[in-house]
Amino acid sequence: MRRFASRAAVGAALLVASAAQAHITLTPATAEAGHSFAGAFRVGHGCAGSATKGIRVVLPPAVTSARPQAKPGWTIKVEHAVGPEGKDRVAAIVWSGGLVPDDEYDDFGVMLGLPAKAGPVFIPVVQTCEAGESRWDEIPSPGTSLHSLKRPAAVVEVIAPPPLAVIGGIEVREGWVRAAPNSAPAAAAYLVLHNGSKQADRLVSVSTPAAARAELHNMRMDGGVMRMRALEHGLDLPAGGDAALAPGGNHVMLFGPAAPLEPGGKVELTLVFEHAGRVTVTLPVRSADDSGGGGGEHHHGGMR
Amino acid sequence: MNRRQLIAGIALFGAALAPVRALAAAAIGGPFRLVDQFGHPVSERDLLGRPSAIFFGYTLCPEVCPTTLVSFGRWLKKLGPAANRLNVVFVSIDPGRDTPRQMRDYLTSFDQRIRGFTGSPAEVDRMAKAYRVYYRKVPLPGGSYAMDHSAAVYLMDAAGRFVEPIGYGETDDMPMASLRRLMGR
Repeated sequence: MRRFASRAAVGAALLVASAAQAHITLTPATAEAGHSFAGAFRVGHGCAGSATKGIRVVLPPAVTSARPQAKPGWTIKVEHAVGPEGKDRVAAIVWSGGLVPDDEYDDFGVMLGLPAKAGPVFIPVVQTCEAGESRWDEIPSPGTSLHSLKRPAAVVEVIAPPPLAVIGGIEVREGWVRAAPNSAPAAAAYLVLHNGSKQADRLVSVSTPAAARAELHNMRMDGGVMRMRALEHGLDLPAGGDAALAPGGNHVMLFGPAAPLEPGGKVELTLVFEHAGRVTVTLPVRSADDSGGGGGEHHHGGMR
Repeated sequence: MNRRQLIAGIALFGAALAPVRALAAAAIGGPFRLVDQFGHPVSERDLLGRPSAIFFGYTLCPEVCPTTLVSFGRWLKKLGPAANRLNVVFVSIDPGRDTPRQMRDYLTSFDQRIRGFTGSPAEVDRMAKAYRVYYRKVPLPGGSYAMDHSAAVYLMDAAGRFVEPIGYGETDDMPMASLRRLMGR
């Protein structure tokens, strides 16, 4: 929690610092991972005194979806491209036809799907003015500050949500259950474990009232053959390390769901660790379409 | 089950899909006598006259099978009206648990053009062998079992000849190119 708060503060400081200059910024400057972001590109000034006629924001593939907010007096054009998994994605949004005088500011609203992983997402913006243009497209290399750049891109900081539970230094994060098809005899649950303690530990077993039985499994693609095995000795958690139960790999197999596992539902899962003891978390049931289906590697695949 | 054929099947898929393409088209596919999800008898003859996309799996499969079935919903939509000329068939390699009734209930969650075939273990085995599909029962500690199985989709032309596979987990553009080629034949 403390980490959450301090990172938000850093983000807020960044917003204030950027807004004080002539940059185009995203407001708010932070977003919680896993939630869609509703905010705006803020144009604070024109180009060296000249009024702004339009902006073009160039969305990186990390932005999973984008919808501009209607803006009276402006024409909005959405440019598409082929994204990961062959799905259509929004590559750029262009606002034109309006005017923002140099001594006024304006906001250009958007709703964005951001990556589930914490970290900054940089979005280059080209500002077109009555005289000339400004390209806000510089992205700091790792370790350098945004403030050292003359023409920084707009940025939103994705902040990891607080862990679902913490027990004996082990954090349980990013848990979800894949919505199961009708009458499916089993479903998979996923989560990420971080062992913040100095002692190696092991996830020994799982149980849930939502299914007749839960087992720890691994699946892998082996030259075109799908193989699934029980993790009979549990899942190792090295000291200071992570262990992921994620699509394409380890998962909790829920045999005989007690009720249909539909998007919007919740599943209680009790995890038993060798040293840290037991903890119960509540996981949301999510449709696989959240992530676009397609295959092994990505985060949540799913069902409608 | 013939051990040698099984091993040949593993080797085939183990070496990726390229060798499959290299095989004579006649080497994949063949006769079968199964039942669809409504309990009606089906054979290879029911698929002739239209191209087909056939894949093998089971309803207890937690990830690969539902993902493939969801992908098919998306692909059929992208194909547009041409999709109505394509047979899409999900064949269970776990007929002991996947009764026609189970297949019917399960498939209600997906595109309604997808058909589900199951049948006697011997007939399922015959079809799997004809399609060079590897599958094997793997016991699980809680008393249940999982099935290892080939995850590729087999594209067959209207005469029942193997054309090419779609590998699991490919991005949509490759399967779409393959399906459009298949429909244009």
